[in-house]
Amino acid sequence: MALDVGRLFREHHQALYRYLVAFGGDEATAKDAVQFAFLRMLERPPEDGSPRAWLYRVATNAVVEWTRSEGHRRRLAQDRGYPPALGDPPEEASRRAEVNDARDRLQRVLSRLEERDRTLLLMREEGFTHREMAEAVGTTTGSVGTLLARALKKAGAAMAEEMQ
Amino acid sequence: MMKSHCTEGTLLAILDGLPVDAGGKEHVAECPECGAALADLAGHASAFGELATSFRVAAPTPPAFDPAFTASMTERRQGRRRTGIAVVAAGIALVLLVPPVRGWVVTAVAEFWPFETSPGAEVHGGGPGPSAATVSIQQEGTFLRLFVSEDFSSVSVVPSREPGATVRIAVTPPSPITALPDGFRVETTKTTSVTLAVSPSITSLEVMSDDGPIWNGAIPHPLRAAWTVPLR
Repeated sequence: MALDVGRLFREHHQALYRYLVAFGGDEATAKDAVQFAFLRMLERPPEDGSPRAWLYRVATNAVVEWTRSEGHRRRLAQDRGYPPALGDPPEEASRRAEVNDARDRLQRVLSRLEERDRTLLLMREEGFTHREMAEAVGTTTGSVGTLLARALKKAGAAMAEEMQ
Repeated sequence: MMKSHCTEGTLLAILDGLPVDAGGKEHVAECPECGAALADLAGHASAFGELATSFRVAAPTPPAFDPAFTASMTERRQGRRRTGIAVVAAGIALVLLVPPVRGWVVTAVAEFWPFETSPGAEVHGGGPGPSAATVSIQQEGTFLRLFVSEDFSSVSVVPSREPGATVRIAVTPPSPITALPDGFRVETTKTTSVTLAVSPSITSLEVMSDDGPIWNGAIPHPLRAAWTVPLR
């Protein structure tokens, strides 16, 4: 049966975007990855499994790949102080500061975790089932509980360090 | 009743309200060690949940997207696939014969940031170093973004719907765009991007590759970059 990509987009794009920003911390990359994942779903829809888990896996992989390949250049660009691209809407300063602060706190914790742990913790917060999480990170459903428990412990330790 | 202590997975399942092995919950209730472990886990989950929620509340607005438009574009792409080589060949001929089209090219020449646009030039993607480009095209509320991967192994086109009727071309990583095809007027230019106004005489916009045009049906595509967008 054909996927209703429009419905999937309406239901999941906001959470997917939020997850990707938290995961990678770069809003531009997250935007691109959301669009990429839905476009890929139209082009080559998943044949089985959870479409939502598939979207998260594709988008996460895109962010990881793009971040790895572009990280060096982006850091250089930031160091050089290049202005933001034209066409980006101006944002209210207080709103921007609020978003940045929340994102930075979350990312300082997540940056201490491995990629899979980050994915699992953020997906759990988005209400994914263990089965969907297993599909997204490529493991068995039975392993997800153990992996999540360990990831939570690591996150707890990271948060404790942040508090110090 | 369970004799051994609960596994991490069992504790997490209890925390998440999932079914657990027989006696698991009773064991946790009676075993101080497992009870403490579950409390620790719940504390970590709660703290992380608060952290994640604080971001969720402040999270920025996601990008616009028009699935119906995307679906229609996909149908067009599929239709174009069926036309096969003939369409591509016609495209190549068009590219070779029409100067405004031929003039729209991306070339990798800069030493460090290899992307520039240069009318009349051929695409030499890859260049001396890493390179990537994003071309965003916006017209009458329809917004298309074309991604060129770093190694030019893939091209993605992302449609969405945004207000306005301007054409925006952004090059990533930052690079000055030194020349523009006929009919395009530079509105604003910065290091990272150029905003263009489209003259009425321009009816299409094309990003070229040295291997010929890539029509809408070729995404991702091993060729470098080409896209034709009707503007009128």
